[in-house]
Amino acid sequence: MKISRKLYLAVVIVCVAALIGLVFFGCKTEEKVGGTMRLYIHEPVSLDPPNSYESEGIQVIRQVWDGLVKYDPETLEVVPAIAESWDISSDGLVYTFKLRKGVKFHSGREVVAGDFVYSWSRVCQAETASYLAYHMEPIVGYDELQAGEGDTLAGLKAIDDYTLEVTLKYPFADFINTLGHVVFYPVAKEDIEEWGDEYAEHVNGTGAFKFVDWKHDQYIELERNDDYYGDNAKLEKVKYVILTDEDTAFREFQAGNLEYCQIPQGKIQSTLDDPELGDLAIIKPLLAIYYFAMNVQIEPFKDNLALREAVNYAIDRQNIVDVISEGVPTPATGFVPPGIPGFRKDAMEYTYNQEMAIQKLEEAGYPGGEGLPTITFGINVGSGHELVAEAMQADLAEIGIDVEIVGMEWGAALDAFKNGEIGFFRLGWIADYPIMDNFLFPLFYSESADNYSGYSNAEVDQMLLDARKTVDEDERIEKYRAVEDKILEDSAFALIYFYGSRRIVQSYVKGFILDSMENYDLSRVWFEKE
Amino acid sequence: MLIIKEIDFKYISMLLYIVRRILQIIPVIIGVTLLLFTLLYVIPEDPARLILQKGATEQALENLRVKMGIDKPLYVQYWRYVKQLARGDLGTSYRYRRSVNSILAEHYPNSIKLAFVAIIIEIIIGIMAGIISAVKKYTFWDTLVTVSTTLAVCVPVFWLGMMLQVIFGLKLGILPMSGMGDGSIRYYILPAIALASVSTAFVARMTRSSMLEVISNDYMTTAYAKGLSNFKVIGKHALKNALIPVVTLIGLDLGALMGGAILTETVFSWPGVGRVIYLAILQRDAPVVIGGTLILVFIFVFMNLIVDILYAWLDPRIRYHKREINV
Amino acid sequence: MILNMNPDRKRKKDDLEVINEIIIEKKYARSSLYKDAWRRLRRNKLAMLGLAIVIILIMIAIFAPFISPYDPIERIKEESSVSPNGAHLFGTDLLGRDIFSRVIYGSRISIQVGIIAVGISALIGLFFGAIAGYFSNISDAVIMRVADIFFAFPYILGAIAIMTILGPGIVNIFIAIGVLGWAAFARIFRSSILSIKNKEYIEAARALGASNYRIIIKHIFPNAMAPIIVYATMNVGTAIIVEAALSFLGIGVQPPTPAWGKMLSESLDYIDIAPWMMLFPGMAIVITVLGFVLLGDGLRDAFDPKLK
Repeated sequence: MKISRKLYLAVVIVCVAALIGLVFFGCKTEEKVGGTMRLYIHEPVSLDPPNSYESEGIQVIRQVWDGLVKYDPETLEVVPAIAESWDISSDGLVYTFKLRKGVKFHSGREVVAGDFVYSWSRVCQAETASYLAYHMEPIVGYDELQAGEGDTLAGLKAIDDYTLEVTLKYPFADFINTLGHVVFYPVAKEDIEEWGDEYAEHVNGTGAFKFVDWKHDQYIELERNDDYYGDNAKLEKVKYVILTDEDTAFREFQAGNLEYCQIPQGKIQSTLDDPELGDLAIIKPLLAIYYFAMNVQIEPFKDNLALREAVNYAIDRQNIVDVISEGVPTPATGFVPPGIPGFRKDAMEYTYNQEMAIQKLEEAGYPGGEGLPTITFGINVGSGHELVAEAMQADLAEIGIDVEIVGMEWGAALDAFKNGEIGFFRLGWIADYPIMDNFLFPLFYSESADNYSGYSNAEVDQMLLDARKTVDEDERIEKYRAVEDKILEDSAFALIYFYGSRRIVQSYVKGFILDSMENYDLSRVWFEKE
Repeated sequence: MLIIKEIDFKYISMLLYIVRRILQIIPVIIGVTLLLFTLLYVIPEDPARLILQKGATEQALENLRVKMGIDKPLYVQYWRYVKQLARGDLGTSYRYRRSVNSILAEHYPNSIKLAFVAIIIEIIIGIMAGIISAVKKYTFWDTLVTVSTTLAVCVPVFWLGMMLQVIFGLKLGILPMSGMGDGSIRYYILPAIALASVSTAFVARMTRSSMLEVISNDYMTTAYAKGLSNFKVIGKHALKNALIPVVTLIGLDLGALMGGAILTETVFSWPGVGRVIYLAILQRDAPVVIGGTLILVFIFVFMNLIVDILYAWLDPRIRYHKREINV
Repeated sequence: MILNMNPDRKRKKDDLEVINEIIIEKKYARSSLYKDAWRRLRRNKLAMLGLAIVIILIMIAIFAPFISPYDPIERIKEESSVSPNGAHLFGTDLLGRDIFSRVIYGSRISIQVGIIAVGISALIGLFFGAIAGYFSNISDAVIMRVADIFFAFPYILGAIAIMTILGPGIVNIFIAIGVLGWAAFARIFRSSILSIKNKEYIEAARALGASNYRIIIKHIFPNAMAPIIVYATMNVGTAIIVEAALSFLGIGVQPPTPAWGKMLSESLDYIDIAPWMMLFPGMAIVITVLGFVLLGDGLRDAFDPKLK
């Protein structure tokens, strides 16, 4: 057969063009896809959503799962994930979510509304004894399930496979902002039935990475989910390397065996000064606060605002931050850290001012500290808090206040604080979700289980409940700010600092964003190696 | 006839001895479980409260207590635990919600490996040093050994560890400072040296005094008189007899090393069982504490038993005494 | 034999005093045991060095406020983590406190723990050891089995467990270390008693009607005490190290009391940039324990020179 010369030529040209195209475009995309990212963590407690309350487990879970919504890594605002859209009833009690179609579990089965009903109910069931059930407290049926009655939350309904209806006990405008928490991730019923208590080692998620294996105290391996409903991740695999020791981990990072690591205490300054490593460090404020509480229901803090203010003025926060924590945290300027909508740089007026402190002490009726009995300060031992306590002790001693430090085991400490045995103690709080309510409500509402300080102000209680109902976001923020102001006025706390992250990432890791809750989305990450 | 009787007698008495010793162990094990159980549950704190960091409402705490099995009275819990124990199940960790068996199974090999390396160091360096210092009594070597063994006993293990880290890990940079790494032998060196330090000193001293005692014995002088060379004398006679107490010491040490490694494991971040138990104590994770300690005690007591049996085999007097006069 | 047959005199007491005189070797042996030991001890240079260290340390502990240049808990903010220099012999720690002063004050904790904790162990141990050794029946078996349990228990873990129950604090450290260490004392004392008890002079005393109590106190005790004294001295060194370990793990004395172990744990993170924070407290521990060990070794040799 005679093949036309022209056809022959055309084919050759097309082939060559394709080749050239591949060289130019194909290679580049190939460069970006693939690679195994190795991150340093401690051994997680659990990878099962109801029980992952600590940061290590949460980091892993967030790669393996997507929930109804996600937090935008920069603004921390809620964006749709499995839920495409949602409606809120006018009374603020009923949320209707429209789910995306075609979202699948890694086992292949499609995610439906019923999965959320099952998962959330499971979290609340008494026999699960989840560490995190309290996040679902606003949902109708929570109390019954916690008391052991029934097994499905009455306030959850799967109208159809792609419509989920959630009814709350009371209007809570920030509810949607809480749904990005890992406890709300959907879990497949058949997996629980198959694995039972061992589910944590065979998790089946909905996110950009599939769980492969967990060798305890060694590593957790994930691989890319090619069936992801969103844009597939570029990384091929993720390996969480489990190490007990920060120093070892850091050395591995420097040797190039880890892509993401923590900078150990004691090495921060030298790392920042290092010409190569300095730029790779990520030091930013986190949504967590370190503070001392003064129990206003017992002496000597009771009814003595001036004394509490004296304490607040006497503490040199900057020094604590610089000397003890190498400048990683930020001195507190209010209750709400930067990164939360509603943050104000100058919420708190207390700065380090010895003269004011001395003056306030006089106003309090104890000029120069005379007449003031020794105040007992409680901390939990063995976690490095002694140094901060000692720094505070020295600061207060300078104006005449005598403090005695008592260290206890954490459990005993909590009991002592709650019973009022000790009236001055250190506490810390990490945000569950990026909203002001999460800082103010659990810590200051009188009946809150997390209120260890004994703070009880009926007006504040009322203001908090009111703020929760307010639908308009700006208005709501104003109300919370008013609450924050009131609390700061009462000066029942000496706020010390906002925690800071001290992480470091290799230079060839691109697209990595660490948010203010120390979370990241590995599906957006790629390697650029020369 | 007499000969057969003699042999029978020896075996029977050995057997009786072994049985007697095993019977003596049982109350010890039971005693330890009771002790541990009481200790841990006597703590007035609520383990549930410790674990539930946020949202610790009364209801949530109660649910957790039920799940952990601590809502029942003490004797019920103890009985349940004993039944579980009989099945070989050490329970479930409060904090990690995993079986204690698997947690310990992951960490024990690391501790054992480290203890092993430490024992080897002990044996080689300790015995050699002891022999040298005994043979070269009052010379420079003897003084060196004596001084260093005395010092070794005075140095706290964790400080020694830190110093080793600084010198070899930091300043000289030739050995890894912490962790188990990829498991290669480099990572074992520093922690094993720190761990073995005190025991090596004891072994050296014991070897020395034991050798000295044996060397000055009459039959040794006889051997010399017979014209045996120095080396033969030491090698054959002195060593064999001198080593008996040393072997005892090392055997006991193996058991003790397992339990005492917690300081070394902390300083070197070694993923061993001592550290796990220590953390569990702080976190009030009772199943891990009890389970882990029980195994430690068991190993220690077992090693004791082996050593005692060996000793009885070697020294028949022990078998017949009703009470050992050991100090 | 000069037995006084007059029934009006306080018979038992006299007779026993006579027995004491009769048993001349024993009387000599008792007092000469200690006198001879002291003579031998004095000649042992190392032991004297140990004794000197111990005495100096006790002096330092007692006179700490007069010796230390600074207040150990006063912090000078500007001088955080300063390396050793003229003003601060051992440098300063993270909070700007003078390490030299802290090391001096730390001796108080260590010496107190050493002496009191070992005292507790010794008291408990002697009590049970005496019962076990002297009465040698069921009580002996029971006590020794219980001692076995305590021996089998990993020491540090036991101390940690007790501290967790009692909570941190120096008194609790005394209790924790003291209570755990009785077993060795009991064993030693028991074996001493066992070996002495069957000697002839005891039989003689008993034949003359001396009460058990008297026999124990006047005859057995002094001779059995020798190994106890030796062990106790060595045990003080061990107790000091255990206390340092507890403080290192964070379960020791309350802040801001300076304790050597605690100073070591504070220095852990900063080994590479501030090695002096770790060096001096550690050396203090080593020297202190060395003093007790040398003294103990010397005592052992002094009481029974054959053992050398």
